[in-house]
This record gives sequence, structure tokens and C-alpha cells, in this order.
Amino acid sequence: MNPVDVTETLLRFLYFKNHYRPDQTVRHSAFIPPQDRRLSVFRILGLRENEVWALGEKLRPEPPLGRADINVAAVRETGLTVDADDIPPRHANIVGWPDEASAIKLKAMELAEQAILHLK
Amino acid sequence: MSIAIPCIGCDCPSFLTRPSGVGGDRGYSEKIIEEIAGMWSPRSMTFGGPLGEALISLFAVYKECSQADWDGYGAAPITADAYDEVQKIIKLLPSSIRMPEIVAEPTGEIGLEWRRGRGQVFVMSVSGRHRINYAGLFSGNKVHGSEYFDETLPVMIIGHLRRLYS
Repeated sequence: MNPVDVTETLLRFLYFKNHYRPDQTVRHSAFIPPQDRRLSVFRILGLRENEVWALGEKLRPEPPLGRADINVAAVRETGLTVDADDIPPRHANIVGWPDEASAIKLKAMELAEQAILHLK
Repeated sequence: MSIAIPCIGCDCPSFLTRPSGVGGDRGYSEKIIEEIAGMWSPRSMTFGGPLGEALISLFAVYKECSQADWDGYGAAPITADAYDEVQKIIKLLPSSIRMPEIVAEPTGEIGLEWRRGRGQVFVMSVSGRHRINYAGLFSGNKVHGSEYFDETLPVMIIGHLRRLYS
């Protein structure tokens, strides 16, 4: 794929119900990175809705419950960056996280507030 | 209406003391659920609705997230120490502060979340190590930090909660 553009939309597949609220908003916990500080997302530019969900079907034995969509612009506004590795195709990681746990929590919170929830 | 009744001597429910081996002890888990359910009965005046709901939610999250990879991305399990610490915090919340939502975090911390609306949210998280990590958004203003916690809630934390609902 081409280099990540600021107008692109990324998604994070959600496998745990507690990561979103009953009012269809996303919780910060959905965006807290793992220990390697690389938050797994997918680029969905040019994909139809069924193709987007098909991405998530191949990742784990269980299908995702939903997904949180967020614009690259919103990611960059928090000071984070998107590193596209295409492994698997369309995969990227949100990187550039701070070291402090509370600072990570704040950035995850900012991402969640900008994300849009789609349930399967 | 909520009425707080102190636990004295042998009357203290078991889930208000440190649980041991909750993750693998199905019998103990069921005992906890029965006790909480009992406190919700019309005959019981021990807990108001919101407190009981928060404790039930806490236990449900703990039970669901006590194994590794509970989120599908390699999340760390939530420990009994974190569970104990959140129970303690919930009991220390001022009565003027509404009960939080319980949130499991991939680091193994348990988060307490208050959200008033878009861009107005405060979360504090613990892992059972006497340290509260918190972050908040207040309509464009941001805060984050870490506070030591032992027997009382840090004044700063209470201040941020009051700010959220001011």
C-alpha cells in the first residue's frame, strides 16, 4: 500500500465487550498498547464494509465483536504515529507512546474519544 | 437511598476481606455471588443499588479477565491484589460521587471510569501495588499522573472527580 495518508481511516478490532460502552462509545482500554508499545490496527482505505469485516475474520478463531474506527489525523493529533508494516496486508501499528503509564492512559483516552464504534 | 453499615467482627461478608485463589476456586466465586445477591434482597439494608451494582460488575470483570489474553491481544491477567484494591477504593468514594464503571485494562490494571459526555472523562486504575494511575479529559483540558494509595483516597483524585461534575 501507499504511505499512510492523514485522511485515511484505521480500525482496531474489538474482541471484548468491556472495551465499549452500552451507549456505543469506545473505552480507552481498547487503545492501550501492549508491552511492546505497538498498537495493532488496520488500514481500510478503499474497502467495502463486508471486506472490512472479512479482515477481522482471519485474525483469530473467534470473530470480533466490533471495531473502533479512527482517522489518522486524530492519531497524529495525540502525538502518536502510524507505522504501516503490511504484515498481514493492510496491517499497521500505532507507535510513539510515552513511557509513563498515566500518559499512555491519557493518549488512549484521547483516541477513544475520537473513535467511532461499529458492532458486528 | 444508601445506608452504610460497618462490618464488625464475624459479620463481615467474605468478599470484603481478601479473597484467596479466586481465579481457580469456582466454589468460592459462587459463594461471593450468593453473598452479593443476598445484599440486594428487599430484606437487606447493607448496600444501596449503585454500590451493589459496582461490586457485582467488579467481580464479573475480575472473573472474566483473570486469565491471560482475555482481550485477544495478549492482555495481562487481572490479579486478586488488583481486585482487593478496587474494592477498597469503591468503599472510600465520597457519597457525593457517583459509582464508576469498571474497566479491565490490558496491562492487568482495573480502571474506574467516570464519563459525563464526549471529551469529559476521568479514569483511575490500580493493579494492587498501592499506586493509582489516572488520566482525565475535561472539555479540552487534560490531566494525568500517579498517586500513592494506602488507606485514604488522595485528595487530588477527589478533586479531579469533583471537577468532572462541576
